[in-house]
Amino acid sequence: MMRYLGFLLFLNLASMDDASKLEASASNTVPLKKGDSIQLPVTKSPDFNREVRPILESSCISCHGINEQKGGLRLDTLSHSLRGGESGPSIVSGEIRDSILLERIHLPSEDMEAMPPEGKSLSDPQKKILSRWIENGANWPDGVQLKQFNSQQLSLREKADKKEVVSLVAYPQAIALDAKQDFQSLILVAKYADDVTREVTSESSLKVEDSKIASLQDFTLFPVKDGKTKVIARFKDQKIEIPLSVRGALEERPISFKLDVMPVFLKAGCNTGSCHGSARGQDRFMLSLFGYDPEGDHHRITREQGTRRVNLALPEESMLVEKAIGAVPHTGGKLFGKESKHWSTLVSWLRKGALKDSENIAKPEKIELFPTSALLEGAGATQQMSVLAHYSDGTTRDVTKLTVFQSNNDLSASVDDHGLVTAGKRGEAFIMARFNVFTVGVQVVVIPEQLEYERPKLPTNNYIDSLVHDKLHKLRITPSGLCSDEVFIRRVFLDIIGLLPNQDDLNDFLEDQTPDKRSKLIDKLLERKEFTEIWVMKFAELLQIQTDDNQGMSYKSTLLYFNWLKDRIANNVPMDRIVKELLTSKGGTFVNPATNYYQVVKDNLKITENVAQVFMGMRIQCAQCHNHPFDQWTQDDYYSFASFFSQIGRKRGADPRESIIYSKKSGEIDHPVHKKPMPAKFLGGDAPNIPKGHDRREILANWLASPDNPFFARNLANVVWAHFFGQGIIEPVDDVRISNPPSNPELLDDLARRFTQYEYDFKKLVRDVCNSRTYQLSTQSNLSNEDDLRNFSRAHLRRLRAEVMLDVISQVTQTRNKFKGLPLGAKAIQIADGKISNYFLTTFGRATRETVCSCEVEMEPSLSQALHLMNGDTTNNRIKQGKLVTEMIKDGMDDSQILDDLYTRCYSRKPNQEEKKVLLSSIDQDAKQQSLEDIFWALLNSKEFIFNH
Amino acid sequence: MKNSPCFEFPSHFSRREFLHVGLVGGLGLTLADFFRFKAHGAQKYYESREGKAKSVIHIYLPGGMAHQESWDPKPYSPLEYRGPFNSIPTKIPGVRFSENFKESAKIADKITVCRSMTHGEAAHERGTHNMFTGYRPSPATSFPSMGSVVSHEFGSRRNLPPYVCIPKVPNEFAGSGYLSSSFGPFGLGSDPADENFKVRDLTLPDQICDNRFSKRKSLLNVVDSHFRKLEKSDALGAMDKFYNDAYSLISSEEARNAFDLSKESDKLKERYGRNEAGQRMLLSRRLVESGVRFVSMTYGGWDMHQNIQAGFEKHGPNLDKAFAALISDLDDRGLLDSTLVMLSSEFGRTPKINKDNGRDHYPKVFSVVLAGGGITRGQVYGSSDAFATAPEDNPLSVEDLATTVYDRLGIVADKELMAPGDRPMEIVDGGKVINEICV
Repeated sequence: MMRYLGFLLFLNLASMDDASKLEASASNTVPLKKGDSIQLPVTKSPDFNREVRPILESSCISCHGINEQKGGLRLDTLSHSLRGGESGPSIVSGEIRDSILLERIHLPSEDMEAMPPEGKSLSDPQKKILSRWIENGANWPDGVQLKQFNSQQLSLREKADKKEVVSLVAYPQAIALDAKQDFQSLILVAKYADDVTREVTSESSLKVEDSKIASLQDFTLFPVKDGKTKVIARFKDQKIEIPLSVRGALEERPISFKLDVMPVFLKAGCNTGSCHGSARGQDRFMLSLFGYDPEGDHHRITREQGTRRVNLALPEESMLVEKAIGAVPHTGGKLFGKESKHWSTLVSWLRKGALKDSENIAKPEKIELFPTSALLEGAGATQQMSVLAHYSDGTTRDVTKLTVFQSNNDLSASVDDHGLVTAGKRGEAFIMARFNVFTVGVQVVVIPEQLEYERPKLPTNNYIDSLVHDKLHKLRITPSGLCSDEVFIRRVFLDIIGLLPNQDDLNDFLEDQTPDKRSKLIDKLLERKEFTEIWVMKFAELLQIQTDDNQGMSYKSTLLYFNWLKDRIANNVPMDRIVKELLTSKGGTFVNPATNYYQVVKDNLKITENVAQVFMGMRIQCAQCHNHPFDQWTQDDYYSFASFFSQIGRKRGADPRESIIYSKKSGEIDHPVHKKPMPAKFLGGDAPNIPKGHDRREILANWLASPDNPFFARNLANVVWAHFFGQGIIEPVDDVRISNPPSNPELLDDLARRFTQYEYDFKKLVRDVCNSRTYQLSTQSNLSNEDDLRNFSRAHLRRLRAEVMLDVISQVTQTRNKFKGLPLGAKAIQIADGKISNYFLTTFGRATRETVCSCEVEMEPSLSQALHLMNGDTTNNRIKQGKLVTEMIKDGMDDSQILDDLYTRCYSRKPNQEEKKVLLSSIDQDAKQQSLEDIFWALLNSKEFIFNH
Repeated sequence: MKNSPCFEFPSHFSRREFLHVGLVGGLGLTLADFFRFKAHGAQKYYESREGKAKSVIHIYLPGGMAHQESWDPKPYSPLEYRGPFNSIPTKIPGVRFSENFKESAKIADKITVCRSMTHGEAAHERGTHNMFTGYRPSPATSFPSMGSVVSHEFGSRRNLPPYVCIPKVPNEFAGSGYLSSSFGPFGLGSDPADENFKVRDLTLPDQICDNRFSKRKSLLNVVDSHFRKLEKSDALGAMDKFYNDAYSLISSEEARNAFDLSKESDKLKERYGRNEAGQRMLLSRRLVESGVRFVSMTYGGWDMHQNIQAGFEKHGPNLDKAFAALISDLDDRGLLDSTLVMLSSEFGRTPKINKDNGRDHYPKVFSVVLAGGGITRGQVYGSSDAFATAPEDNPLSVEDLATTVYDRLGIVADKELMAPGDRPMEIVDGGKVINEICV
């Protein structure tokens, strides 16, 4: 009796809304024992959303929700709670005595049945809230189901609650259920005024308008009968309707090897490269890597080694199943349990006789990953992803549970097996989903909570700036300021023409007071022949222009090929035309030099790969032997694309150094799995209709270099961008793949769109890039962008590339280069033959042109480079040969004038006072020339000279 | 008690990490290490201290050398597996090498042949990545080579660059990966086998005396200071570091002499062989003797898809002679116990001779030879099955090999280095030290 009174006292005190009293009285309370009854005075009900749900979400749902149901109990919906678990109803509205929930939470923490268990008891105010809530009728908003939240997430939500919601979006935006066992999960995302997104599925009220058509359970829709209705979702003052259609609600979809079983192998990791997907399998069992060969896999499972992998009499005891659940020893361990959906999929397929699919079974055609982007605020914020697969028969399926998820940056956003993304450190991550042969990804940006940030009002020079600023705003980064005129002129000279401005260029520019002087300078430089030469050099690398005895590339061919390219670029022939001329070329390698494209490389598969890498930016090599492990390309895609190059004919010309390239009009490349040729199909595009005997390359070229090919313009735009920023929007530029996404996809798309509009006139694109404020930013960082490397919020230091550096050294020392086959004084960027190099160029990482890879140009500093600039002939001899200092002294220039001259030559600026003072005082008047030449040497060795900044 | 610093752990120190320290405590971690570990927060940290191996010579055979025609002949298998060569006995009783390795057979008592090397990468670049970094290639991360890690952990010794490649940086995986490029290798840029071999630019140009050079240095410092104040970037830091390395190299005659092959006697040059294999190995020995920590050298082309017999007849004898000379020369000089020699390739070759009388790529089992620097003498570790198709016992993984080499050098491969984005990465992920081959 005393106990009972004590408890009453506690409850009374508690209802007085006074926390301090509560604490004071806590020691007086006597815990309740099972069976004790509770009596309470009537009080006002606490607010469900504000007070009740956080308690349930943080303390109860983890064991009594969707994922786990301890004691058969769920507390995530009202109906579940009313139904209760093994011990009976957990909540009885208005009846505090009969509600087991209240009984359990009031038990002393050492009691075996106390809840939450293991000493994680609720606080007294929390107990009070739940009691008052039940007492007042356990009011639970309609259609709300709770998910687990930890305290960190609750606090994030509390903060978000104070912000204005501008829209509510549902994923998918329309729901179609088309078989008895079909289902579709629903995700709701709120977007706030500051562009932050937050998943609010469990905070929204969800309702199917016509519950006779479909039912809703655990945020998932299930078919009831055929018809159309909608799901109504409400969150705060936002309301949206999601159309829902059901057909075939009563028809069971037959189990399929390709559509049901193969996905299990992928999801459970059976067919990865480190397990059975390895080229030679694992423990004598091989599956095709990521399932590129379902027929072969079916054979290996059902026919190889007799039939020991399947047991149709006792399907559950098939080795295939027992290994997977770890019932027999398995090197790969237990992959899933008997209770899992994967297990029932395998077993029901075996029960039905482990059949092969019929020929006309639907094929997955694409997948969608939702939500399509996310901006998460605060570490711990979460977002559930979902994946929708579309099939060739027009149906869709929610394949989230069969999808493999991966993040490319776990630190910023990790993703678990179920597709739940959790925000971490500030930054961006790309979340990838792989299902069947498809891989797709979305960008997730994470910002810290309560960042002090206001979007700056920034001037923009053109569309590039707006798109860069939009991205920076998402990241809450403010870009650096504009660079000075001195820095700009040096930068733009080096980037556009590969030389430094001379004294006159500099004076003209600095004295010009017109506001558009930077634009004018860009226009002027774009007309210089060196602009052409730089790009001829870059394309000569991609086309691997070099003499090669083994390939029969004579010096004459090389030179003709190079001059052909030079002529095209110098005459501003649009890029699509150049590419078409190359790919469709036929005739003698001397007469029509473009045919050398097929002479430099003679292996037709290599040509296929090179075309993809150079003109589309894609490395498809992996798909030669199996589905690409990090990209969307399948082996079928590879051989379908290779088919365009299967009829290239080569024969000896009249001159033994010449070859003749022609179309053989026949010839195929067999797919290595089924040993049959694949019909020609564009990479990532359609299969064209090719009349027999027609040159397939022509059809390919017309597609490749056209707006129909989404990759062509994007790739070239990215290559141009990378030249001016030191890195591409996709980096490296020739490694475009789903798992290597662009840092700013909108920017890349727009550049590509404009480049197409400009009819592939490359100069126009360069003009846009150089005129953007983004290109003209300073290298000086601010607090918000010092760690940014990928989003173009400031300029980055870039070491000069080998050829440009050598040319610039020649320019400032007034000396001349000599390269084989070129006149004295030629520039390194003019070298036609990739085989011609010298120690300087090799040491500073000139491309060897042995492959088409962008990685051939090396920009890393090294000890050899330092030694060579310091002790080598390139600097020391040239200072002497150029006689610059000698002549300046002879011309009567004084020390200070000479110093100014040397500085402007190398740095495009005059020495500052400090520099001048120290350097002038260092000059030994008895060995004046030597002193000044030493200063010159120091300038050539300095970072300000070696780097573009 | 509550405030006693001895019992206070920083709040970020999780239970797991605490247990971890407890665990390494058992492996002989000192209290000082422990506090350093603490200072590094969540990063796993171990102090690197010079181990038995003071330096490494990595002889890399690009293309994938057949194990059957070298260290792991299968004399009792049918001809199409056995290949065109016979086998010969070696100094290790009961162990046979291919007849291509006659000289090496005579010094087999000084080396350890691992016949159970295995990994899953059958493409050249991916296999090469494995053997240079100890990691499987990742689409997201570029890993540092072993040489760069050694450079990062120990720095330079006796004014010499810590990591040198002969004759040049062999491939893109030999670089510094996610570490600063200042830990990248010094590629000689010239071949010791050339008659006029000289490493360029090691000495001051004529007319530049030491005095004048130090004046130049101070001038360079003056003109650099403005820029250095304004800018910071990894490339800039790396360039500065290379200038400092260059200064120390230039200022030390002893260091420069390490690259001077003319200081070796003709007799020794003959013993190594006057060819690429011999002279590169001879220079490797000179370099480690002088203080270089990690030398990576390549020899030959071993991608013998066609006519493996001709291929081995061309490259085998030179490699054999040079390798045997290197091991015995190091031993004669008392350097073998402190120099770990590793001879490896990206993979081995297929068990069966193909239609072109060659063998194709085969990573599932192949051989690696280790010697000196704390590695056992006269042992065969692991084995392949009768047809050389798979490891039969003690499979040796890429991770275990790298972890063992690091261990011999005094580097705990479980240590985490910082990759971009504050992402700690183990030097090797999940390898173990193969104690059976360690002394």
